[in-house]
Amino acid sequence: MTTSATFTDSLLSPLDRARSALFVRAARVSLLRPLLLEKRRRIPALLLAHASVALVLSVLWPTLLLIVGPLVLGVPHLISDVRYLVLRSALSRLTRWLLLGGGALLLLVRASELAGLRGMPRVELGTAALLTLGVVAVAAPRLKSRRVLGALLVTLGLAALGLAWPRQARLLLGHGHNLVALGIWAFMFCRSRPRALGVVALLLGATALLLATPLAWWGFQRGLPQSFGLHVFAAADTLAPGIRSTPLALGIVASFAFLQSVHYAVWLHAIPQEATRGEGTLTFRMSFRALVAELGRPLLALLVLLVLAVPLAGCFAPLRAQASYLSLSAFHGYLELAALALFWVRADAGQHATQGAATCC
Amino acid sequence: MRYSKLVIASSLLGTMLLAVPAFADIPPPNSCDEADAGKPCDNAGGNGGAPGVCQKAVCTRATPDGPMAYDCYLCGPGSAGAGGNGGAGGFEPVSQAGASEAGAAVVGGAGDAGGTESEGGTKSSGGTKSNGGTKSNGGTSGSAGASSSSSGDDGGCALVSSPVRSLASLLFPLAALGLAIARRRRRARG
Repeated sequence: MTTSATFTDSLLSPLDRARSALFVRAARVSLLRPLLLEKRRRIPALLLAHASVALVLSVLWPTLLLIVGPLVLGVPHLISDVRYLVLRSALSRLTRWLLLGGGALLLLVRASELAGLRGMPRVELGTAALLTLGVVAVAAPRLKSRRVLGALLVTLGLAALGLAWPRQARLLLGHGHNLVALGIWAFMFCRSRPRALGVVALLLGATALLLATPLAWWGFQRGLPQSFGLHVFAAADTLAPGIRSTPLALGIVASFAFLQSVHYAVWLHAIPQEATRGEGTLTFRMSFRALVAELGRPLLALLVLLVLAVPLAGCFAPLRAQASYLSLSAFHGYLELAALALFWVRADAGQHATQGAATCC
Repeated sequence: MRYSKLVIASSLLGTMLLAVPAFADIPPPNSCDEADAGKPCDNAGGNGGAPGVCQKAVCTRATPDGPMAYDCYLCGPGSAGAGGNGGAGGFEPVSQAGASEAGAAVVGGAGDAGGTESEGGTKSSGGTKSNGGTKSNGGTSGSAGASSSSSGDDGGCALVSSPVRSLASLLFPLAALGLAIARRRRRARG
């Protein structure tokens, strides 16, 4: 064990040295210094910088974001999702196992569907509703409360609509879960809510720009409509079925690509940094040790293989790999909704943010 | 008074609940993923409810710059009915307007593979082109496409595909109106 730890340390040390050197140089720039040193400035700045690049790409080359994003960042963001929502949260053992078991069951349902089993969408939506109801019932401090009643009613209402129109419900979830991640960051993790809401408002403004103006159509005319065999119109058929206006359909595709990219940034940058104690960021070695402590070496090794395998599969069959990943990863959308319901009934804003275990690098 | 308000409020809520999904209930498109190519699917046909097979196709979309063709995957009816997929082409991301503007009806599934045989036993020209927006050949030969192409309404609108829901969402306000009038009359008599 010690040998492998030393081996990993020796592998990561050069990366940490390079990182430190970069930080030191960047900190000399007066404009960057406060952003690097203060978390409350760094995280919004990182999110907005990431979103700016994503916005440009979503207008000019949306299919690149749609294919490469999930293949490269998909699995890491899933790990982060489960880690910060379930493993590191202050939850009871029962709630934690309920969330993990429900997530695994939802994954199994999707795998069955991929294997050709029919009628799975309704099974999936029903399972997700039961998971949310179960989590609310188990984790609510008091069952007789308005918050619990509200959560139950909303869950049951959404479940009824989902069971009646499963395809539409899934599509809506696909679009909506990108926003849910922003909500989770703003309400559950971010310590400065006004600042978080300001960032969210800017991101929503950019999304509205894509939807309500012909920006995406303008980008289509000047940018690249296709990559890895996916044409942006084919993406529109999936993401905006039945939308007759091509500029609007392209706007929906662009907004999805944009928000999906932001969603990844939230799980890979914003939430992990919010959850870190102190103002600094973690070194690679510290991140690795934290991962080992939380997941254990065998599981971590498996996940690392998965992180590498998905983009590798994408090199051979990008569309197939992306579609399979997106299908199998659907469970995390339901997990996020269940976590949001849990947060609502517990009304424990900010509690998650203090769960970090790291110090400044 | 309270009662009628309650009735009106609940009917409005009911209307919204029924109408909003109906509005969003755009007919399940018969598109499918490349990952599912060759696999059976259950959203073939104009209404997207028939079993079929996911296959590569060439679709066309009406744009402000005219119709544009692109590769797509559609759930076509049956295993032999590639031509019918032209009808599937009835998957009209292309709107009615699009068709009339630019003749951009869907180019059928067939593209290269298709056009072989449709269920009707005729040769499908669905994969090739449509004629000036008049009608899609694929739409006529394909068993599934016929419905959507000939409807003239394009398969885009959910209200067409779910008349029951539309009817229900109309009945709600009518019922509410009836109840309100009846109550007012009763009050006037009293």
